[in-house]
Amino acid sequence: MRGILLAILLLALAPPTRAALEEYEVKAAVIYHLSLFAEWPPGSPREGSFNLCALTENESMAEALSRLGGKTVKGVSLMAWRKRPTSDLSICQMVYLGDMNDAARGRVIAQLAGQPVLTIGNGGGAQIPGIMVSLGIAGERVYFDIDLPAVQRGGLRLDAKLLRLARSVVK
Amino acid sequence: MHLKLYCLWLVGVAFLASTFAHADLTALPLEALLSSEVISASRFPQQAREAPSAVSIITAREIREHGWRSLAEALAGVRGVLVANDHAYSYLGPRGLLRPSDYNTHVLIMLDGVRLNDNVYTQGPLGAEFPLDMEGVERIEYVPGPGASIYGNNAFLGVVNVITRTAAAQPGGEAGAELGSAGWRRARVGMSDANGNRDWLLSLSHGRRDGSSPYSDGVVGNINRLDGEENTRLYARLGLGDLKISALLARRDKADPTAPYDTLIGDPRSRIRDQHGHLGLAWQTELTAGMTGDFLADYGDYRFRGDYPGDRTTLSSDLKRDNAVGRWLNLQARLTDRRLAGHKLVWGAEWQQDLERRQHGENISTASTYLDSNQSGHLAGLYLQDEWRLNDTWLLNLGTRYDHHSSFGGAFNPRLGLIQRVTPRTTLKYLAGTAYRAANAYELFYEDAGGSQKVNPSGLKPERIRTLEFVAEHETASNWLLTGTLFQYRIRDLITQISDPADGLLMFTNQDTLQSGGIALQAERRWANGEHLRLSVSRLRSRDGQGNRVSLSPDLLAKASANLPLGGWNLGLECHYVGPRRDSGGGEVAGYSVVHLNLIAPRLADHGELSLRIRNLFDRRYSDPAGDEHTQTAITQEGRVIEARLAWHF
Repeated sequence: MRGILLAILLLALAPPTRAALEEYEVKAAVIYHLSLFAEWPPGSPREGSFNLCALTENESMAEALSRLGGKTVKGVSLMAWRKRPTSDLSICQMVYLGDMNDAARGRVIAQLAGQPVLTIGNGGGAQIPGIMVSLGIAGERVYFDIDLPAVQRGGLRLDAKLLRLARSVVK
Repeated sequence: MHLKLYCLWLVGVAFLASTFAHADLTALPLEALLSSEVISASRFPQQAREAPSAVSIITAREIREHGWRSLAEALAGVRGVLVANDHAYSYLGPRGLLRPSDYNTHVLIMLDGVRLNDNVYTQGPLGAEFPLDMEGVERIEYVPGPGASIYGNNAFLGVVNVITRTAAAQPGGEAGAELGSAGWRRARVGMSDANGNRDWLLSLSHGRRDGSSPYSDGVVGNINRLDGEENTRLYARLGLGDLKISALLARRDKADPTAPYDTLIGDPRSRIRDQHGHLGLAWQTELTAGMTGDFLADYGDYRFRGDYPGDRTTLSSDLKRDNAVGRWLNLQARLTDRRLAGHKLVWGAEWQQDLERRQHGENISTASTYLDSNQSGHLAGLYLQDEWRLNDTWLLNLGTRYDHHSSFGGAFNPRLGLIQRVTPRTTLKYLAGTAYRAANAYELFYEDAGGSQKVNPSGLKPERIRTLEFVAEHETASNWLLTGTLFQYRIRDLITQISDPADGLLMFTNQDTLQSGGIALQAERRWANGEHLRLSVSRLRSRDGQGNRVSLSPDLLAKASANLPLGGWNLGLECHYVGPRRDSGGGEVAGYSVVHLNLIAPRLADHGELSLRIRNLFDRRYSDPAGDEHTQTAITQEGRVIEARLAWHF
């Protein structure tokens, strides 16, 4: 038994090879870039702080988003919160809604409608009604779609760079 | 010594690994991120990947596909798990390790993080006595190996946490009815709703079976319809924002045909009753960005009644009744702190106070009491765990917990896990840990006034275990998940019942040691259209201090399960093989394989679901080795059972 253990441990020390990146890490990094290229109206929730709220039952995604905490956005330190559908979301500038029950997500979107809150979904290809930016995966690449009317209803503005890099933009 | 060297080695590797830098993807331009090739999320549950254990997760979907009606049925399909039954209870043997007369005291069973093991016997409910309907289960997390560094007492060979469904997952109502062999009938209603930040759910069920006929085994002979059963379960939960209030009450009555403890054979008075009640408050809140608080308060109420008719040695026909009443208060607080880059710190505290821990024994026929004990106790535990992301490849998981029990003092249990992400598809885990199990009130205080059993005057120490594990997980490009596990357990101070030569009375003492080791391999794949296949084989070896095989523990376990969607129909199939085992008399109980099937018909009018389940499809005759309380050396298991179920959603 010990011999086998030792052999496996030695094998494990072989240098790791990696070419591709982890889906959640890339999605979290894209969400960070969204915060840099979006503009909130003056007086939007709690100026002087920047809060990213994650509503997801996917632990890996929640962990990846929590690791964005401490990064700088608009000159302040980003705070990453883990929220639940029943939580108070009034402090959030950005809300990630992924891998959750449709009914619960619908209620959160309805609650945030018209608010200056950038809503990000994980559509997996299909756009979700009311969500401003929808992330997905196709051909082993991460993409995002933008629903511009939803963005405008919230009083937000997105940099032209985001509109250019989006896979599709609903105008 | 071996354990210490291993730990040193792990820490050494961890520090070496931490010298490599951690890549920050946010530093890459957006264009580069969008053009990078990514490994998409696994089809298999993700939280398992970085856990410091070989965790298995059973989802609501699998429970439905296979029609499992108890925790025992669901866990029997997991690699390396042995499930045994003696017509009173079902018993769990994680990694095939199970000793006779072990009433699930070496596993911790939790419901949404609340401990279900009672405070008298510290028995984990696993079979029909498990207090929640399987329809209300979202998922079951099964973690083999020691969990004492977080969960404390009883998390000795494994931890099972059952997570309930949320109201939002199934809003509306559901009604179900079942009919089956041996006079089985059951009805259930469930209702739930979510509105704004409030949600609630309610579930009520009642099931009954008259008993199968005939039940037979070598010593006892044929006994008709003496393993009837009746159970009632009520569960209610109200969610108000971050606060959840839950209430649970479940009672199971079971007739025992096996005539344990030298009781009269074929006497219909032989019955046991288990009742579990819980009233709980759970509050989960984000205290500040990156820091979550979980607070639990639970009032537990457990009642047992065992009726033991007559005595074959004295030829008495008196009815003896054992009663147990356990009531306790359990408080838990846990802080999860992610604010320090690269670390996930979990701080926790637990406090449990027995309000009542009564064991009472009376002879109903003569109206005399032979036991009345109410020795309460308390325990306090503190733990700390750090998940330290050293770099992209290495994750170090360090945890330790200190418990103080009023019965014996302190126990300190560390755990060390090193998790290596060799590639995004390959994970290796190197794990070492310890655990303990405190003697329960039955082992400490049960005596029957010179009848057969007495209290050990010098008290009992806790049992101890030290473990080493290696886990390898690899997901192939074609979506097969391959898992391999190697483990080695060393157990000492096992609490064993012996006969005192001075007076011939039985008493518990810390006596045995046990060594166990083995390897388990599993291949699993779920296809996009719902097909699922899982195959596992475990080679195990358990020996007691005298070098004998441990009764009930097999050397070989093999499992296969498949789910096949067939044009609107769905067929769930399972096959379990359990190798030969030693029985309590030193003989051998033959190995067996058993096949279970569940067929779900296409949806009726979009609201109804009709299913048919057949347990032990080929009506195979097989036995589990018996416990010390039985005269027979093996207990015959149930033959073919056919059940039909109709569920209606509205």
